[in-house]
Amino acid sequence: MACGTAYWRWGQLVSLNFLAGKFELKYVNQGGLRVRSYRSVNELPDDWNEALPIPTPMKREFLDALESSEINNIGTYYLRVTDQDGNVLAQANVFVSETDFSTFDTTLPASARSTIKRWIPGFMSFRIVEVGYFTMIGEGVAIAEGADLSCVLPAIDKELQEIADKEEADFVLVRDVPESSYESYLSALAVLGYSPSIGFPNTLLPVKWRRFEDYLADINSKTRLKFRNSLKIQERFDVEWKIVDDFRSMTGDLSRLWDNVNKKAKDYTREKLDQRFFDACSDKLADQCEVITFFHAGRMIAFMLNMIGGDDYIVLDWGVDYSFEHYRQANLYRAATLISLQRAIELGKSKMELGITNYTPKLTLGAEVVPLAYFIRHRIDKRYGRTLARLVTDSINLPDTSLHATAGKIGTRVHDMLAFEQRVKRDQNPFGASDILDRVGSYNRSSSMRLSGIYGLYPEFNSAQRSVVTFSDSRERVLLGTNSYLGLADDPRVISAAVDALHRYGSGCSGSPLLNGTLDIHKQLEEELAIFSGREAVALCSTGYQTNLAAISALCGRGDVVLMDARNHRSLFDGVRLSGADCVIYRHADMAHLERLLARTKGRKRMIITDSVFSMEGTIADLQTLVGLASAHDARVFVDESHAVGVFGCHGRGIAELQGVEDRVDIVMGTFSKAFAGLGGFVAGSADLIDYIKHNAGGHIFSASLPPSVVATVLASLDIIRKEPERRQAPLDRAKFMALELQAIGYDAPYHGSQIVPVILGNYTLALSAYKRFMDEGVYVNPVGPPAVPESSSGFRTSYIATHGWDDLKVAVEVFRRHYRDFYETVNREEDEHAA
Amino acid sequence: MNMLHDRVVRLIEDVPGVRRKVENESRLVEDLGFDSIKMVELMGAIEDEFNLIITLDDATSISTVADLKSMVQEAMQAQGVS
Repeated sequence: MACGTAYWRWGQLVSLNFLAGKFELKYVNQGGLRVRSYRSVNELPDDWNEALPIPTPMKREFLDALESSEINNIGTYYLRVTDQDGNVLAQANVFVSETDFSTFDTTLPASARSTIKRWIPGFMSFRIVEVGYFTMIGEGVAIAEGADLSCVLPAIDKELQEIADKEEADFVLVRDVPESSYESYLSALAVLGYSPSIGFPNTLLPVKWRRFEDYLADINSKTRLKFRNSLKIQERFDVEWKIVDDFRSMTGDLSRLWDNVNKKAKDYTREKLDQRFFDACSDKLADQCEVITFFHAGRMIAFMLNMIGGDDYIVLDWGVDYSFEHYRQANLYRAATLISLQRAIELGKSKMELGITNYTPKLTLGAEVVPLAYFIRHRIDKRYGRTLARLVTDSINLPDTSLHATAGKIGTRVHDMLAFEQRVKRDQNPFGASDILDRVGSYNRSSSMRLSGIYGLYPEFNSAQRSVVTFSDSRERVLLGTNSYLGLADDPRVISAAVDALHRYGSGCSGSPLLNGTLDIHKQLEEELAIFSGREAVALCSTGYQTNLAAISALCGRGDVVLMDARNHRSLFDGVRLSGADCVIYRHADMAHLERLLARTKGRKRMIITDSVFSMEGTIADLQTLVGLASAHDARVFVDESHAVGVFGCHGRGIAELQGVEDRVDIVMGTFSKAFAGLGGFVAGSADLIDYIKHNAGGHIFSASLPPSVVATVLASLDIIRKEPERRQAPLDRAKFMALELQAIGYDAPYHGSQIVPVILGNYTLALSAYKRFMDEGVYVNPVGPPAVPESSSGFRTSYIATHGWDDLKVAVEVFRRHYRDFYETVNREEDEHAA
Repeated sequence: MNMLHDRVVRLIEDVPGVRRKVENESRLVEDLGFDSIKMVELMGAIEDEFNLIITLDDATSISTVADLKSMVQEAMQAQGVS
């Protein structure tokens, strides 16, 4: 059945008119190209093999073998491009298959992968229309002499789009483009939305010897000896080998042995060759393939299936019995490749192809490693083509071709693989290397999360943050990821105060607090906060982030040293960067490291900056030791109490109060967006210090003041914090309850004494997937991973608020309990694999 | 210089999760898989090994293992460490 026929007019666009809502395209016709698509080998025109030079895998009989074996259920399309006079310009082999790219992520343990697959079956699995060959390597497009690739490829692409639409494929991929054609493909395909990727390099041994002995004579003596020994398998291991033309009766063995190798393949593998495939090779390629068989004690223990092309000899498939008692010593793979080379020489072929992956033994043989490129585009969104191209490029480790003596001895061409990889990577970026926006083009992370179906950032709540919230999908979820620690975001007193302020003062302040942005309630808030925090004065800023930028950049400068805990919040690092001071980092909570750094920076002006409660880990700083070190080394201390104010200390002032060191901390800051249920931040200290900040801190002066409703929110929250000290214990009680419950189930959920409880899963991709899974199950958690925490600490950040209902928490515990086996089995499977 | 090379390479190899063979031209991020957290670990180890301080700016200017060795040498001279 002939399937589609597409007609693609190739020409130069000379005008574009917009008429009645439709684009009218006019071309100067440079000759129409016709693309005809065939679904079966039986329908191919008689001159398929002869109309133009085609590579071995495109020969009718090879296509027939693959098609009739029906492996992997691939859909096949054979394309022929002709000009308007019927001259054949090109042919292409196209197939549609499912490929699982999740194995490409080397940071994702197999067990975590299978868990994610259970939750998200389509995770990193894509349907792809590929131009190339399913089991062999080679350029999928063959072009007639004199035909123009830049005309042919757009015509083929149009047909590929139709196939992709019909097959509901995700991607179109043009495989195995040699380096010599890379530029031509790039110029034709980039404009069509394709991104280049490096491909798995092929290996090729040019056969220039008349006898096998001549080859051995050309290589160095050590390798020669090794090779000769490899061929003595009969006398050394009682292994008999022979070349078999008719292997129809052996295909069961071939299938079994191939399966052994496939199961152990470390590189990507997707072909699922079965007995039918080997049957088809035997039936359809009688004179064009043969098998080298290895027998021991009457059993086949290994084979190599090779194809015989017009001018090439192709090593296609390898199978072995790993339980063969001399498997390791016998090195049957090496013997098989050497016998293959003997055969290629005997048959008078000019080259032997050894295929992709498992490069070391091929390099030992002296093979040339041939760089190949892929071109990838998404059926709909070209950004995803770039994403997959980068993923593929990053996951292919190009072999080091510089270290093998045989290649030098026999004059094998050595390609600069690194240069090729770098070239391809440059071409993946739609912005040029000299463009300041090239960093935008090289950013891939969010896109790869979306592509894999695990992107869940920017969730949209559509209710106030409380124990249970609704999202934009109208579903309710228990909220284990809010910083509204005292549960004041929906407190009627707070809302009423904000509304009143809105009515009295209007919606916003137009300008800087220094000039036209200060209301009486700003002044009131500063004064009340100063009293609350036990400091002489307070300055307000419009966000917590900005508070740190403003304060640190005003107080520190070039030549100073700021010593920072490694896990400090980003705003603290950015504040130091803005100040120009030297930023020196000590390991998280490592006071001995801090002490060494203080000793090494003796004589310089120094400030130690730390969070008091660390937002991701929930750990609490040892301020008592820290202030002691500061005193001993004449350093100032700045403490960020963002996650502690309102929650810790007798009066709710934070960890410095809790640990009794307030008088030894020079500067504290806090945020209004957490316990205070508003927005903004404050910095508190001596009157002189705050006066200096209010007249020198850019982030304070050059930013509009907090709007009145927010100021009133914070004032009302502050009032509640002062009057209802019992609220402070509530989030801590709930956090402890949850940590203990999760630990009892078996989770790694350390309780550090704060309202933040991390749940460590050990892999960020798993965490992102689990976050989506928990969303589906009615629980919202924050997924965390690098760079916020190390990969090994990736997981959930859960946080607890005073108004979390106990019943809601119990619902969440049950969701954790139901999923524990997913994580637990993950761990077990890893251990199993490790043990194996 | 070789001793410095060996000491620096050992410290790099000791950082958990570092992949591939460490060579002079290896890029810490692209080739060896360093991120900001691993960099903090490495810089802490370098500081302790050579009795230096390394600023965040210095650390972020390093691309390759060779850069790191140069930076350590310069810091040793500037900070009077032998």
